[in-house]
Amino acid sequence: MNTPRAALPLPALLALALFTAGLARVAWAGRLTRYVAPRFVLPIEVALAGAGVVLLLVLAALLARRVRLQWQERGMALLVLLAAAAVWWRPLPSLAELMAFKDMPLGGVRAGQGKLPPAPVDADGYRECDGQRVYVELDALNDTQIAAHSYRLSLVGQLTVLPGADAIDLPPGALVMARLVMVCCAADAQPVYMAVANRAGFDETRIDDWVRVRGTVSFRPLPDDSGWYAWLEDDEITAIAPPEPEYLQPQLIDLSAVPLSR
Amino acid sequence: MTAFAALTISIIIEGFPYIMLGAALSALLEVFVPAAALRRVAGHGGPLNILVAALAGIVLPVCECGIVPVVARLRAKGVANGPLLAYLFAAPAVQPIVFYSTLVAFNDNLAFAALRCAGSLVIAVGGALLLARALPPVAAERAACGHDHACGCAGHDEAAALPPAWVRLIAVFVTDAVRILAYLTVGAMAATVLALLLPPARVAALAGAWPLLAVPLGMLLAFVLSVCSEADAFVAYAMTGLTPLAQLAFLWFGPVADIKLAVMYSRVFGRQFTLRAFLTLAGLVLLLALLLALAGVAR
Repeated sequence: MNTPRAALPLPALLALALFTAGLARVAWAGRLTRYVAPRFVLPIEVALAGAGVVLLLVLAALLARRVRLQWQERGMALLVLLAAAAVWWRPLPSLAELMAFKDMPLGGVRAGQGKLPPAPVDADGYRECDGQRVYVELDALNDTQIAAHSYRLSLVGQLTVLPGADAIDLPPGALVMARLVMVCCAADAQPVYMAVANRAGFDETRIDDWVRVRGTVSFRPLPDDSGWYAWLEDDEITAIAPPEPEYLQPQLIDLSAVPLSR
Repeated sequence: MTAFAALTISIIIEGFPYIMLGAALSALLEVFVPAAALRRVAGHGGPLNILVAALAGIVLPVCECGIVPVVARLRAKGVANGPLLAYLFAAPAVQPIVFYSTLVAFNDNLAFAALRCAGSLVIAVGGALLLARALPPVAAERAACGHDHACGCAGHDEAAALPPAWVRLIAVFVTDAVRILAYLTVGAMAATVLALLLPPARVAALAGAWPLLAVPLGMLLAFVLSVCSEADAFVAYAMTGLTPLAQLAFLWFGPVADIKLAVMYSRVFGRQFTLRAFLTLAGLVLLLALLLALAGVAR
């Protein structure tokens, strides 16, 4: 008597195996947080483990001659192969490239309390902000008040080109540093900016470099008098290694309550 | 090209665990749950069956990507359209993870989180009642045997000889996982392109400038952004250009209608039904928002 066999579409199997292997490679390299928020990492790793178990079972079923491979699901498999190719390619665009692609305007996330965080002060009197909150708060302060004047800050960011930089009339030589705020994946990332006076004369051509800037916060008026933008009078600019994760997470920021009626 | 690929792949990677979970549930349903039992549990599709099916969404933590293979499998097993659609529309929006993430994103604003989930439940039940008759019946051939014909079976003389359950499980799992990953790939590419044509920040700014348009623009943003229902509350919160009511409309519409779902629904239910479903659901969201506005809630 013949052993009953289940039909298994070979193209689908190959596509799933290639996609899973590519994603496992990204996870192994610790690069998942370049694409998704940290809270998705564990579910992805569990799903990868599950997919790996299934693929091993498929292998066992093939060896035991329990499955019959068929040339079906070719169209679906082709689409997944496309995704698998992108995962193997591991595209990592620069911040500037991402911002230009998404046409991200000045402003970004605006969801702050209008108060700067009570960060610890280092030996030189600078507040050691990890960047999780201060950008958002400074951004929220832009239009409202200049209470943060003289706040000495140590801030991490990536040098970038600001789309529409002309609109804020940056002085010659000034730099813009930015962080991307990601809610669930890179597709929803939005930038928050900080203009830096660049008194240190940091080389402007080093776009996308990660830097730590220590300096004093002040605000400059927008040319059309519609508000203010945050401005960091730097005392020191230091090149640093990229932080992990590179994106800011808004849910880690202590945001103010939103009433049901505004 | 690099940026396009990175943004598209980020959507797919984020949906990956939910697709695996959905495919696993679908395989378990196919192999271990008889079609007749499912049809009996779901009932004949009356209003009470629809309400119960929508409430069943609370217990299964699957987002809108993961629910599609499960619902496709339930449909192939002959579950009545009403409960099927109620479950499809409710599950991604009323489950505990969504409630909790909304609560966290909106700073423990219990009323807002409750309003989000209750509104989603109303829309799911309303949508199921209105759309149940519009959904074409499952092909007689599929309904008769309780599954589609990429089910992994060797043939349809199963009574005589079936492969072992674990073999059928992996065959169904692989087929379903790849199908949904394929739909998600197309949907993610479309979402990236459309987000480029309609930059979310500019749409939100427009909503801030034109409060009357805030609710429809919130829905448009939800459709374009295609954010996972388990994280969309953080996106809604960050959109301070939207009124609270528009934020709610964003949260109600996104889990039932967005670009990637358009591709997935089209494959499972057909294009004509998908269009009709999106229009009906959009109408329900607008109506609910109007009623809340008239009642003075969340304006």
